[in-house]
Amino acid sequence: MFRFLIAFLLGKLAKAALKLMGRRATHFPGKLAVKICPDFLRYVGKPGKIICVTGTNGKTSTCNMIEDALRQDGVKVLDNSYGSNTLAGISATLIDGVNLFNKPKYETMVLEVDERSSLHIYKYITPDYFICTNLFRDSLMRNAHTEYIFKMINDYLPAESTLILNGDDIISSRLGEGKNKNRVFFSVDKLPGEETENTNIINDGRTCPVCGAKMIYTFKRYHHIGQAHCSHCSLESPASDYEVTTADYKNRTVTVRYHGAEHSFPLISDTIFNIYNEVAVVALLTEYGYDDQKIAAFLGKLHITATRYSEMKVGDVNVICTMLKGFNPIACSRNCHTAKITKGKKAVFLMVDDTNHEREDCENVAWYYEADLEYLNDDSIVRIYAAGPRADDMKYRLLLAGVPEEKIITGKNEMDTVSKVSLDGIDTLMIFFDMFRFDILEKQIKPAIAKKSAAAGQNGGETA
Amino acid sequence: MTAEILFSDYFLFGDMANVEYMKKCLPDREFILTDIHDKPYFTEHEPDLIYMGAMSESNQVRVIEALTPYVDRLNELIDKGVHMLFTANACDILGTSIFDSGEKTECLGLFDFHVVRKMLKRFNGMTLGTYNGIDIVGYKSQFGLAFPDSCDEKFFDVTRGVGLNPDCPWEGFHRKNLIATYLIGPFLIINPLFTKQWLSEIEGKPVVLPFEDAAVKAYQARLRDFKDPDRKII
Repeated sequence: MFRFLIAFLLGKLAKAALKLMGRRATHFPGKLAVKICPDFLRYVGKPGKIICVTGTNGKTSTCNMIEDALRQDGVKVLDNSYGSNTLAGISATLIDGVNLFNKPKYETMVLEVDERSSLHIYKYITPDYFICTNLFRDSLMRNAHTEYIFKMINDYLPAESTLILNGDDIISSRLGEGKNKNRVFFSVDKLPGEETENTNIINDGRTCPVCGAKMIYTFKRYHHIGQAHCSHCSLESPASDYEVTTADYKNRTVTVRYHGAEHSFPLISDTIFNIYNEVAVVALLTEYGYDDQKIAAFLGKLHITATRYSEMKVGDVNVICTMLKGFNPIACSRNCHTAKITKGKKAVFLMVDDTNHEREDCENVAWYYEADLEYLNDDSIVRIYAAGPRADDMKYRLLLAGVPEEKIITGKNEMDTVSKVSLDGIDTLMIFFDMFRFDILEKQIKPAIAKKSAAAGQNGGETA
Repeated sequence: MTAEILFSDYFLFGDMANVEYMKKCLPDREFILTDIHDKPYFTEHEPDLIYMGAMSESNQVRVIEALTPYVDRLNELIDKGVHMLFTANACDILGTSIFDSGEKTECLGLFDFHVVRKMLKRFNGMTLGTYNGIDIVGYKSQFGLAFPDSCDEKFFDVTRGVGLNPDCPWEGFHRKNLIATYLIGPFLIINPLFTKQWLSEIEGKPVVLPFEDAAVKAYQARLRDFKDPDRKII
């Protein structure tokens, strides 16, 4: 306990000092506290209700929606949206969440938890509600494969938590099986007009996670997301408790069937990834105790965070910037699919090179060959720009994907590449940027693209 | 040429691209994809090439179970000079055993080395070396490291980066026409000079790689970086 007191006081001091210096102090105070007291999280005060969100893709968006919804209802919410989702960031968040007497200042805590940090977090934090958005192949250097990450979470997940799981994900839907009494599942039924794909390079549910035999899909949305059963053992997708039955893109509504009735909510985003995030939020808020009308009112005021997605108009061209984690082939694949189906003529700017990892003396381009870059081989995509020290590798990957060589333009870094960007003949420029490239996107790339419009005597204006 | 791809449903880390690449390089050849519950083609036929790539640790156990009855046949095919390529942790199963948290998994025992696996310590690195006068580059991302016992059948000497383990100056295994390497990338795609030579050797005639100039340009850029003394290589 003495170690905790020292860690707590120094953590508070570090936080105050860093804030005086104008810093957010979302990492270091926690790192310091854990260094002094490794089980700091055991002793630090925690709000009465705890919601944890994890998963390969969509956890930040899902957390943001939950936090916004609860705050609309006047709930005092502690969150780690500005900090890291690992042990240090969560510890720093909790240092902020208590007063000098270690008493919680908030009623509820919404934590985004990095999958690999599960072993450090759930030993000391028992979520009342635990959401797993999905489990896909992620950075092979860090997360290896889904079986590894599944085990990492499942081994440490407290049995008392109510689990809110993706019923269309044959991997993450098995979390807490035989351990957690309360498990509810959300899913998205085949939507009207939805194309179902079976051509993705990656399917982490190709074989049964229990017995290793082939899985049979009665409906596959993409990758391993869909409804499946094992060809050999009894494993099958669970029955859904919260099922999206329709999405009306024109009238901006989404219908979710639960508790024996259909409920209509505002559609926050057209992308299927965000529809999954939205139904996860509906499930959470319902389990939390809100009725459908209240949830609909919350959702009506929500939007996807601008750091992940933004649009601006440069002359007549829509410039859409979407963040995707480098090394994450699924996020890259989904965004390439979006590029393909977006109406009009498009150019795509890939800022996904692993420059950040190069600084850490390590790199790996193997994930290029797990991402469905074949989607970019489409007549409607007229140019593809690839930036970074491994741009030649990206070019080769695109050539193997069937993209004609004359459409591929490379540059050794983002600024070199952006100088080659042309807005001629396109309706949309889609920029896919790695999370570590957000600053350069905002400070250099967007202004450089806006200047292209100014040079042509046009006006640009941005919307988030 | 007939190539047998063992258990491709299990492949990870981009290794399926090695297969797709070989198909592009050799469009007229037959590729047989063997499932875990199938009897391998090589048990009753003599393929020109056998390939296996990265997989999860539980699938390694399934693969060892599936192949153990055919160890003698595999030895026979190796002795006959059948080309075989094993990449990433598919190499593990060729050794004698895998040690992980006090547990020992018996492997095929085709080579005399063992693997020490630490599931909480993933090893990531880059490797540069030379084989047959060709520079070899690649990435490593694995939980297990191989430790040769009496085995010295190396694939190539490492000039930068890590070999089989931090104290081993060489990478992979090589016996007759069997090559095993922990390198990913995918290995065949990021090493076009090696791949061209290797596939030409299997085919008995020169093989042209798809978009060969672009492949070599990307390879040379990586090679320059890997050879740059100012660039730290793990």
